[in-house]
Amino acid sequence: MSHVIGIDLGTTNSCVAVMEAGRPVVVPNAGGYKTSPSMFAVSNDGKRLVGHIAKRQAITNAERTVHAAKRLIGRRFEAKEIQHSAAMLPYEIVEGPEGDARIQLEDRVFSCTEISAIILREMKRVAEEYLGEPVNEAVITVPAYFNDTQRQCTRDAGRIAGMEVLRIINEPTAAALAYGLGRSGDECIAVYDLGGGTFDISILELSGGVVEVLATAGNTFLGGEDFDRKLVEHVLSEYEKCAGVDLSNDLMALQRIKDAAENVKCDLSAASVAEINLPFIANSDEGPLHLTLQVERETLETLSFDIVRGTLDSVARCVRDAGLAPGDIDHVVMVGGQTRMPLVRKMVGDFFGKPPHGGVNPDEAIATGAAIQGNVLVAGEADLLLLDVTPLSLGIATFDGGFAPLIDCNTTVPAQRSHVFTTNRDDQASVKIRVLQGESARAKDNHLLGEFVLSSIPPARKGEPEIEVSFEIDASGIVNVSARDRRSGSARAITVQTTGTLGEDELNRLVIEHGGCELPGEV
Amino acid sequence: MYSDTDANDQSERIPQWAAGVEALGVPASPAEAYLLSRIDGCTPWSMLCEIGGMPPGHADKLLGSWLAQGFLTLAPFCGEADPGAALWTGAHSSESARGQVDPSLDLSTELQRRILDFDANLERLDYFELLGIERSADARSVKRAYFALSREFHPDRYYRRKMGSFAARLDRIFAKVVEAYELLHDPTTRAEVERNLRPSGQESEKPTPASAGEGAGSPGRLASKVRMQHLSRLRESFRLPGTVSSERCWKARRFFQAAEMALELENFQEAAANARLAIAFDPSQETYRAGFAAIQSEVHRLRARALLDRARGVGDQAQALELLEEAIHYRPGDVELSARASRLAMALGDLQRAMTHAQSAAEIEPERISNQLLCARVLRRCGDFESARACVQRASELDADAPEVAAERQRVERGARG
Repeated sequence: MSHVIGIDLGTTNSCVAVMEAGRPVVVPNAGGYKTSPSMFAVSNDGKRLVGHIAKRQAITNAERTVHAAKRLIGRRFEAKEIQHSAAMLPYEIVEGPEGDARIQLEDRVFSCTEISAIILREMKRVAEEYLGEPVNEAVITVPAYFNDTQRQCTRDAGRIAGMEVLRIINEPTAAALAYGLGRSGDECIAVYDLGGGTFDISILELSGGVVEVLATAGNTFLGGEDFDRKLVEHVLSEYEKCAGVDLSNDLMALQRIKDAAENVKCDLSAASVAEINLPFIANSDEGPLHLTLQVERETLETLSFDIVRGTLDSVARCVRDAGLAPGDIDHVVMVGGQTRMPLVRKMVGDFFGKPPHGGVNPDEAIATGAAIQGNVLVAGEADLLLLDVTPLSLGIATFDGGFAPLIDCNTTVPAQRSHVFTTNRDDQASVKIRVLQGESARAKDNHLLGEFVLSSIPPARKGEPEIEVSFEIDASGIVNVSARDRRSGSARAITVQTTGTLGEDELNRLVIEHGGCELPGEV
Repeated sequence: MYSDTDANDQSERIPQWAAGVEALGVPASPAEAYLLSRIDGCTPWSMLCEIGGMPPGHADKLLGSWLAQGFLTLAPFCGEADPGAALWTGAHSSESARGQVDPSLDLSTELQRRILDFDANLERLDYFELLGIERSADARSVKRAYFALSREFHPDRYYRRKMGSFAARLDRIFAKVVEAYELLHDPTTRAEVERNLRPSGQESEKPTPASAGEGAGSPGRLASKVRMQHLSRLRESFRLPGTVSSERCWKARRFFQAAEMALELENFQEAAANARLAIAFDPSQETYRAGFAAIQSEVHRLRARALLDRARGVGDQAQALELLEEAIHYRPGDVELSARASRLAMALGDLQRAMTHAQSAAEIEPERISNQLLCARVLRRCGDFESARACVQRASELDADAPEVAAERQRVERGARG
């Protein structure tokens, strides 16, 4: 039987794991690293680069090196998060045909799905080299707070990369599986996942090999990169103060500062002072300029205090959603590289009243958990069972622009629910069912998953027809919605096979295009 | 098999509540409400007319009008499945669905039966019965039961297996298990569930009708609460009246005759189902109960035999032991089976199980030397030479000259010396 790989497709780094003889193994890449940068670049001579190679040339080729594409995936171009990022990112973001955010590298426009596919393909290759056999199936993780469009885009990316995606699972849940493997006792754990670009918190209960997600919350636009950005802004302003030069429009300098900031941030997890030293950062009339700056841990902590405190609001909400108090949590599992930061560990530890559990590797736990879930599915592994929940409420728009949730967030999947609605005009012959996902009481603030029209409702006074809307969500998170007029029996159903941001034609074209191409290759 | 009044196919169809319709939404007089309360999704039209408590023609007309108004829908009469058998809860109704077990699927036939059985009873069991717990169960037990059922029925456990119609059944079962757990897990909803399960006096409490206006709240919860009240009313409707009408007696007799006929044809499943129907229609007749017990024991005997055949066929000893133990469950008095299970457990090194089976063999037939010696052997293996000696002693009291007794005595003494 061929292997199912587990891929943690991270904002900044990705990781792949596979089950071997019942044990998860994190697969190192050719360079010996267990994680690879989630970076893609087109080099000056037109070669496609991915992973460490892409990162190494990022400074000299900033405009054509994509990082953090995960922050953009499945989002609309006009979304304010995108506009905010566009100002900070060295590469150009353009609007795609479906209104989605895409990335322009020279004369080629890449969808974020395609960029993710290229990274997934690299992870697949790493696993194949290690296993010595082709890999066709994967479980991929996403932030718990990803909506269905973002999940579908990730699924599509897997398909373009030549893999069947058996399941998309939430990152904190995957980490809990990694933690739970081989544990049979009863306990409640909190998984605090602060990665490069996303923050998630989940409360789970483990009992006799069953892992139940009690509640989940998070923010898909908050992560380690925000710490970096704060530090970059700090460095830029300090430099402007002492050297009088504004580097914020110098792409190359910006990329170097960003890199240095990331390193300094990591160093400060262990040391109390670290130095940024960037010679020849710019030129002035008097000659070359250098950037040298001491950064103290305290400075970084002051800069990032608000970010960490912001995560604790989500943590508090999640604990409340789970119907628990912070003291009820037996262990706090920290995953994601940013949780190495002492301030994060301290503040989270203080919140729960106990120090974080040190038993899982923050960089590898998620990929490990994905591989475990893959094995549970295909090998009929009976020792572990994941009872997953839907992270966002699902429902329909009402006439007054409100949102009526039918499946509440944190409902165990698979689930099915139905509800009766009615018309609001006399002799109304059709109703439009708009399927939404989100937590806002107003329809327009939630994410539109799909819509359809139920017609041929017999003439009746308003409020008389009974239109029954049923939602079904299966274990893979696929949503089916049907609507039926009880009197006439007229019925319509759609599978909200959420359209990613790629149309079917484009998707198929990309599957074929990427099918034969080895990386790095010619554009 | 029960109806000679089948004039058209409608009479063979099974009326069921249209999705989302609640009994309180159907305007009805008490007599009509009684008929309504008989509709359980497994009693065919013709039967409803007969048991509806009103002249059959009248009931027929009423059902027709409800159907036209959309309160009811019709499910096809499912041929071999015996709708009457579904009146019963627990393991019994599995026979009714036996015809649907499909050996070509990637599911053991036992599991298929379990799924069919569970699925068939889904609408009838209250939430406690569904989870298999007592009404007094604490939160911990609720969760434990939920986890245990999840392990059994979660669709992930059968990922990619060839499941046929069982995939949909599993989804349905699991969704229901989750619903039960969610309601019983939360003390507020649990209190409501408990209130609704009280045998009487709840009819007057009106559930809030579901409407679009409440959309912002939690329609799922509300819908399931309404549904729950509906279910508890349905459960009530299965209480039989105190006195049995002559019509019911007649019906019961017919079912029992059908059972006897099926028995002659050695169709035990059908026989059991019919006998149960007979008891349902006339619980006062002891003969029906005795007949049912006899059929049941025959069914058990056959099932045990099938299990033994399988146990003989499997190569894996541990699996064979499991099958043997299941067979013992159906034939608890069979001393041979217990002795075999004990020997097999010993071979597997599971001395505790070996002891249990050896003891039950010795309890069933204490006058048999081999049973006492078996006990002695297990005890000796456990290192309890004192008790082993006592067993050998009992064996020698039965037959002092038997060579196997002497041999065992020697082995025990050798063991005791170290």
